[in-house]
Amino acid sequence: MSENKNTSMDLSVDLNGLILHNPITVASGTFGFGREYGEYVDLNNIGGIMVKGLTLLPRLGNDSPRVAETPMGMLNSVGLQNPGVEHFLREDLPWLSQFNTKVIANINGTNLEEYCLIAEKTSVKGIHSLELNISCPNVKAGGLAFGTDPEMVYKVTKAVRENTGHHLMVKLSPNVKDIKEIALAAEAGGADCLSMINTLQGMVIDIDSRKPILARGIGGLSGPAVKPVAVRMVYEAASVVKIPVLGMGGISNYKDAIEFALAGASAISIGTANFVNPTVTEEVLAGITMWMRAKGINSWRELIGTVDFPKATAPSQCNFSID
Amino acid sequence: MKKTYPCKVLSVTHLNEQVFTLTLKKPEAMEPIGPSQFFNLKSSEFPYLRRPISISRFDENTFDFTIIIKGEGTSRMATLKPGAIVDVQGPLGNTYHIDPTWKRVLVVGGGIGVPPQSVLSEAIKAQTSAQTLVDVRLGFREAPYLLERFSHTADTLLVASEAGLGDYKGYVTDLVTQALDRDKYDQVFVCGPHILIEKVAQIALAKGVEAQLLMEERMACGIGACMVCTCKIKDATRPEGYWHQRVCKDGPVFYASEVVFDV
Repeated sequence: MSENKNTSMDLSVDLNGLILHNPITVASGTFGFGREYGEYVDLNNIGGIMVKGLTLLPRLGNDSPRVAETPMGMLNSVGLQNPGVEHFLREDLPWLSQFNTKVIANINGTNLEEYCLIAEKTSVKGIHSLELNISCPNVKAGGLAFGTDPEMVYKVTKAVRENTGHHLMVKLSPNVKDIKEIALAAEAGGADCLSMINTLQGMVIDIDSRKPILARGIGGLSGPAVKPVAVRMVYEAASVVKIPVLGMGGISNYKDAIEFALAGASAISIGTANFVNPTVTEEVLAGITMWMRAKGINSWRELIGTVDFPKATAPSQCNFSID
Repeated sequence: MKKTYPCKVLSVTHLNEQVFTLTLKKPEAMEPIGPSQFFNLKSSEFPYLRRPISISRFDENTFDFTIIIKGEGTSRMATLKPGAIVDVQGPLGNTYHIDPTWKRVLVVGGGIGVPPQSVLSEAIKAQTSAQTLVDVRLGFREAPYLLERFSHTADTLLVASEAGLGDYKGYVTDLVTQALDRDKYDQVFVCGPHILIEKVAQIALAKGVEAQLLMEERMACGIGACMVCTCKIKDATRPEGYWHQRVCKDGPVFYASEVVFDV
């Protein structure tokens, strides 16, 4: 259904060395290692799969409840539960490698050494890119602590850059004062590409029990509710960096995907929408193709960053510049 | 490829002020449904996420979901009109294990955990010999409902009601203890509030009888991808002694002997 019948239509995109055959990817943590949704969609129709966040050792994650519904979205507090990087490399990567899609390893650590070590371990054949997760709001150590300070973003990106020859994207947090500063720091640290946004920190309280719904109290907000925030941040970041930006946050249909492209996203990720509609990825791909054909647009790349509005201005003071 | 099915609402039948049965037209192509399985339902009326609901009855052409009004989603579901469309994903999750050689089993349900047990009772009767005894013990806060669903499958049926509207005034756990004290069981099955599941698991294990627990947890994807609906399951290979398994994919049925209950 989603195959591109019009041979003149070009949906491919080059994320600074990582070439996707179409701009649709799936956000880490929303798609497991591909197996579950592989029963609903042909994974060959997806440009890239950001696998569930990996840590060096198996990680138990947080206590339940880990999810709370919100107006047009949800909070999650999974806490990076995963079977560990070795298990992924042994059990899941060979299976994923049968598909014509780019495998992007979302990597996590609690300190610089761990980030570097897991980057080394995942810089293997079959993994096409590393997504450096410095923005998980649901873990005590690491995660967000690295992603909210430009100095730390620069340091961790640079350290990982020095430990991998793989394509490197850095996943940015929206829980920051100035996303442009953070984006520039990641670029200066050697990121090939930015992916954004991770979830926004939120809280839901049950008024009867007077307790938060989530066992951990606070979690990460995703879904359509965050989309305008994400579009704004992609616009701002893409305005100031030279590297490509992969946009995500509440994308549920092809119109959302195109909106992100106009804001400056070279490719997009679909996340929470998979939970509501397990075939959303193929539907977005079909929708984009249909819309482009109707508009007489032959290349996805023609859309990127073409919002009819001046670029956001760079922060006046910024310690990071590209050599 | 799997897909979701748009299903027409045939009826919404209220069993009491809080509980209703949603009956949908069943698609022909749907996979076979097992006892304890659930469906992830979506309607344009719902707030955002799908709603995971256990199957409470099915035949060739229709299937039922008996639902308690808890929040925004379920209260809107209760107002669905015949002809409305509900998008259905499933059947999802594992199924109760039934051993055809069992001689006597105890089926326990509490409140909104009762409806799925009627599907189980039918499955046990269908998959075991004519001599196999199915004892059913149900608990309700107030007036019982759906008892007729057990009339052809329960060899004995006793109902506890906290309000005194059943055979016994009090908790169903008392009836469970009585049954296990008196007779020898091959297996216990329980579905209901978390506290009931935990108590029945304890009572059964203390008697040396395994119990299958139909667990409930808040879910999102319903198919095992998002990792939000977990249950602590014993795992000797882990330093913590347990691992978080997925209620939607590895469950919703777990054995009493493997579940770690939070203190």
